[in-house]
Amino acid sequence: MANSKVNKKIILREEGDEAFLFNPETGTIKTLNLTGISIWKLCDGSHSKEEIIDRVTKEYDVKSKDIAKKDLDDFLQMLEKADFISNA
Amino acid sequence: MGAMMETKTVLNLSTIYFYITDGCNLRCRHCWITPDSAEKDMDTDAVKGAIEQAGEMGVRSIKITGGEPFLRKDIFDILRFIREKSIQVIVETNGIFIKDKEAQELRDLKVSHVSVSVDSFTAEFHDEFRGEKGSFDASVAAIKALRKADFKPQMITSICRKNAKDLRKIALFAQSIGAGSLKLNPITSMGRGEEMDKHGELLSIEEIIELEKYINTDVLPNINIPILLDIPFAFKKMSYIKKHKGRCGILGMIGLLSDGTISMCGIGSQIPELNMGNIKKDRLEDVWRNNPVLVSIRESIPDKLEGICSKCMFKRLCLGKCRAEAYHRTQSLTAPFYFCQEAFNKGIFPETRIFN
Repeated sequence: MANSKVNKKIILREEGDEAFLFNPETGTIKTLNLTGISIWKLCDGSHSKEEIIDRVTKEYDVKSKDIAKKDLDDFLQMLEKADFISNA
Repeated sequence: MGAMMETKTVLNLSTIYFYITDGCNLRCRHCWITPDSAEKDMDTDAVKGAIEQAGEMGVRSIKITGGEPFLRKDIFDILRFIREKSIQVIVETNGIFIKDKEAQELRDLKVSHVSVSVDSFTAEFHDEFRGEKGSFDASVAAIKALRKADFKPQMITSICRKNAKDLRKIALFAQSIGAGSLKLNPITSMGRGEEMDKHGELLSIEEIIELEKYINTDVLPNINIPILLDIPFAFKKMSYIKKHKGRCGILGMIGLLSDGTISMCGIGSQIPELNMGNIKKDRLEDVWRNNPVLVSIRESIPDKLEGICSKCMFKRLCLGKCRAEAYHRTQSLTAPFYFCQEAFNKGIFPETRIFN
């Protein structure tokens, strides 16, 4: 399966423990938590979904990889639907 | 020409702010509506005619406010009529006439939400501010009665320099009497607020921004009800924005004054040029579709907002905060919201919220 890659037009703004993504063309905003920020930064087209799950579960001490996989799928789907990422 | 004309879609009218009487039993020092007397209020039939038209247009909710709505003898008849049209009702009141019986009646009518104004945790401050001795006790009793009737009543506090310092106590008090949330409206220089402004009683922009920080760090961790400080989204934490939309629905709302005047919102009582007709003689739908002020708003908000609003990442959410106030200050519907512009000029607008 293709790796996810961020849409270059999207702007990431980090504000302490919160962040958001902004699409200047549509004005759409998506909020991110710390895990979301890490995932976003790994969506550079060079990391597979499995690699992203590995990194995130280690970084945030996530107990279940199954739960992490489902959360990641939901998150990526949401971003893809909003045209914030595409499959490289 | 041959090319098709591009037309801006007319959004459905979803909400009406109905300033149902111009009578009030209080004389609040800050009131931006400055109610006068109930003399010109529409009679019951005219009010029902307006609601009938709203129902035909698919209006989803009506906010009943005033003046003090419960001064009208026919208020429950009106509320019942609205509910019969399957339109949601939100009520703003000073609560003085709401006892157990009225609270239960509101519950039976399935009124969605009731807000009651209380400006302090002490009778001394509130009664002086609202111009009526005993009003604090009555308003607090109303919140308790509404809670008993299974509402989560909102306590609305108008904030100025004098009571802002007591915010923590006010929040704890709101929670203790059963309020479901606390809404804080910084008093602005409109209506009677202009006089307070002249005397230096209003909070500065810096003080309001500090207040927002103080709420997040010192107040919210100690209470269990939401606190909604009414400031532009650009100054709110993302976690707040995610949970509470709370913007002015200017693209889908209209104001109706007690004498039938159709206006942008309650501002029509202050700025006649924002009035668009009268529901006793004009069809609401015609006004909604064709009035030049509304057409201009649809064409320009948010894309043609000026100043800092044009650079703000949140303009599509915020829609320029309060267009009535922008107009009041500048006579322009696209002027930047004064709060954000002044913050930007002073270098205290959050840089992470600006693009371009």
